[in-house]
Amino acid sequence: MLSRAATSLALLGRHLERADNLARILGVHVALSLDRSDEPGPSFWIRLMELAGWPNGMVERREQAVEFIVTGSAGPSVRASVAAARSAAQAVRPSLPTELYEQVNALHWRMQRDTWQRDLYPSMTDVQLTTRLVDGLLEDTMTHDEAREFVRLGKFVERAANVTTLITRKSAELAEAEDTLEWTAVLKCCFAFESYQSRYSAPVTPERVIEFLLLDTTLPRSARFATAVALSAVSRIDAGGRRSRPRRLLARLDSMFELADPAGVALHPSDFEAQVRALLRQLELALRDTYFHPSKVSGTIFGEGGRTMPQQQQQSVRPHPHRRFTR
Amino acid sequence: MFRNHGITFAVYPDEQGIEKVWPFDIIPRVISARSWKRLEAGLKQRIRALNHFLDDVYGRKLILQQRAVPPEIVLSSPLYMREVEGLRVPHGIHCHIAGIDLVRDHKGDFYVLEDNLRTPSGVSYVLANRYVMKRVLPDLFAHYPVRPVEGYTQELLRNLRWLAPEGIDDPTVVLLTPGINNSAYYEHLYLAKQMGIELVEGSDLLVDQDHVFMRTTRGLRRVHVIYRRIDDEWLDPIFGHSESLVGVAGLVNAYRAGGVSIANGLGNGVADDKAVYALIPKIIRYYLDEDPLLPNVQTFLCALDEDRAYVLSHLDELVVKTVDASGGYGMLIGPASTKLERERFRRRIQAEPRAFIAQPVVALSVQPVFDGKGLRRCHQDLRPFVLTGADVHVSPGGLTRVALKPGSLVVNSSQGGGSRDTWVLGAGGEDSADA
Repeated sequence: MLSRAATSLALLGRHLERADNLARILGVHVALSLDRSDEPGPSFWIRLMELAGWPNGMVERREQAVEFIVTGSAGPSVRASVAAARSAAQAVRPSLPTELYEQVNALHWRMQRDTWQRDLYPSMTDVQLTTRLVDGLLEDTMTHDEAREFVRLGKFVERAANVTTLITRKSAELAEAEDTLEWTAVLKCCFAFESYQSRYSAPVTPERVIEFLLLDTTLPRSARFATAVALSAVSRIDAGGRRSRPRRLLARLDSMFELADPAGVALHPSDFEAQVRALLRQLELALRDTYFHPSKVSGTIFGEGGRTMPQQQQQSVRPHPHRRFTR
Repeated sequence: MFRNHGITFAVYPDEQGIEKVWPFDIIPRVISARSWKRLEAGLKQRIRALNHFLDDVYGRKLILQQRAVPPEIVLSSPLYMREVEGLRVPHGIHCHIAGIDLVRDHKGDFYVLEDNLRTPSGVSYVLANRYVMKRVLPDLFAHYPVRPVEGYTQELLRNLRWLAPEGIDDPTVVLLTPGINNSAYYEHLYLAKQMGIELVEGSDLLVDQDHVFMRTTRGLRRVHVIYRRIDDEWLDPIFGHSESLVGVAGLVNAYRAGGVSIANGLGNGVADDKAVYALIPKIIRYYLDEDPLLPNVQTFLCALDEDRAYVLSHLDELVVKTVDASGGYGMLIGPASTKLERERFRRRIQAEPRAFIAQPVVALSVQPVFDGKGLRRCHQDLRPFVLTGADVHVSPGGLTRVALKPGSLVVNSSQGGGSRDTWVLGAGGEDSADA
């Protein structure tokens, strides 16, 4: 498969996951702000902005945060992510099922309208449900080949990063006070509240939430689950036993989640995040060099049935328009 | 609704797509077996001679040394590419895919109006038109021995593979497109799919030590043959426009070094330059020692004093064209022009005579068109596609473009032109159909 196509497919997966995640955390936090007896101050919204990937979010009120996260263009927003997913889908339209492209395209045009201003909830639900629809089309209408694996790779690497960010930030923020409401919101950000209850049927505590979201092997939104899917996608892309660098890095990330100690993460959230980030950065570069933009010509390629050129001929070929060379 | 589904520029003949984008007339154009035989022989002769010409002009230049044609006309062509000088291309063939525009006058004789030896497009519409016709009017085919056009892409693929550097048994062939925004993008997509080759953009390729590679998810993969749909000057930022983003740096050098084969070859423009066009009958006689089977439209070269004097005094009767332009740009249609326009052209011709040619207005042949209410007379032309491999092959039929606007002579699809299926009858096809 052409690298350009693989890049677009992975970007499609990544940006849809990002849109889904933003829509989800925004909805949960708006609901959380309403549940609190006191009106949360600017710091609540600034923290939400940071979680959404806006490090210098200068916001004071809910409306501002909502507008940035839904429509902003200077940082990750739902609208921008959907638009990016659509451009990526457009670039590989021939290798996607028609219905899949149409769903992404239609969502893009719905997001261009301002219906979210009147009613945020249905609009954010739309994003999440359409993403599920695209997931379904991907699984059920597309051949399970390399193209599908690249979409999954993009999507689940993004998910692993998002969950890690959510947990480490919340651990840092909530270290002082044991805030059940906030930790419940964290679970809800990952569609995990009901699963948590049925797993533990116990009060929501930071350790359990961290354990569940980082390490659970059955929760589709856990960091470990996401890493495992990304790893399997890479293994299938590499078919035939090639152990590429992305595969080795994902295996390392996988074992990092496996071995993580929930209490330790709760105690030193930023250390853990830094380790994960460093690995993800390396992965990003490795993906680029291996799949998305290979540029190194290895010595073996030239030998591969290529015509070896006589030395003399090589010398005679110069970008000199007047020179006539002999053979 | 329409927006949600994206704008469909369908080459794939789905009913909605083809009618939207490519206006299609239901009445086929029929060419008898006998007419086609003459036409085919004429086209093969022309392409053979043009390939000899290109190989000679970029090689020993015998035709110029012997002054069979005026060297100053040939070498002054803006489309002459010095980078190709002395280059030995595989099998000596420069033009692998040609689209020759033909018109038919009131007597029914075919004339060559223009040669397209660089990146001719439209063949996907030939295939699409046929596909639609077979679905819409299957019964009609039963009464005529219509020759199939299907084999085109297979023939093309066979020829492209044949160009691979020596010793490569299973060459990697790619189609190089300027990208999704090119108006012919869907043709590129269609052809690539039909041939089962990768459709690549400039950024997908890289050149290292005069070998070309494409970036794939399995690493770099050597490319042996490029069917390019990018014009010469945009192909390589090192040689042409340095700002070209669609090209591949180093590609021209790789081509010169024989590390990759490119179809069509570079520098073919010198043979479809409109001034050189006037010399083609001489070129055919020179290389093949035969009389041209397909006549040219009478052409005056403004570079020649005698011709220029005639052109300048008959501007109101002639069509004046710029030699290196195509697609109907930079033209003066004498009978339809204003005095001011003629004056402007007069000054331009005097300032730069080599850049202009003039031809009498050609009356395109007419055929009825069904416009939903009834039949109307409309003008049409024909672009057959000629493939050159080990042998020269003319795809039976070609693209018939129709000026759908009443009275119009313009067949370009952007200006209200449409197309129709072109039927070439096999042996036994009635000659009466040709009338």
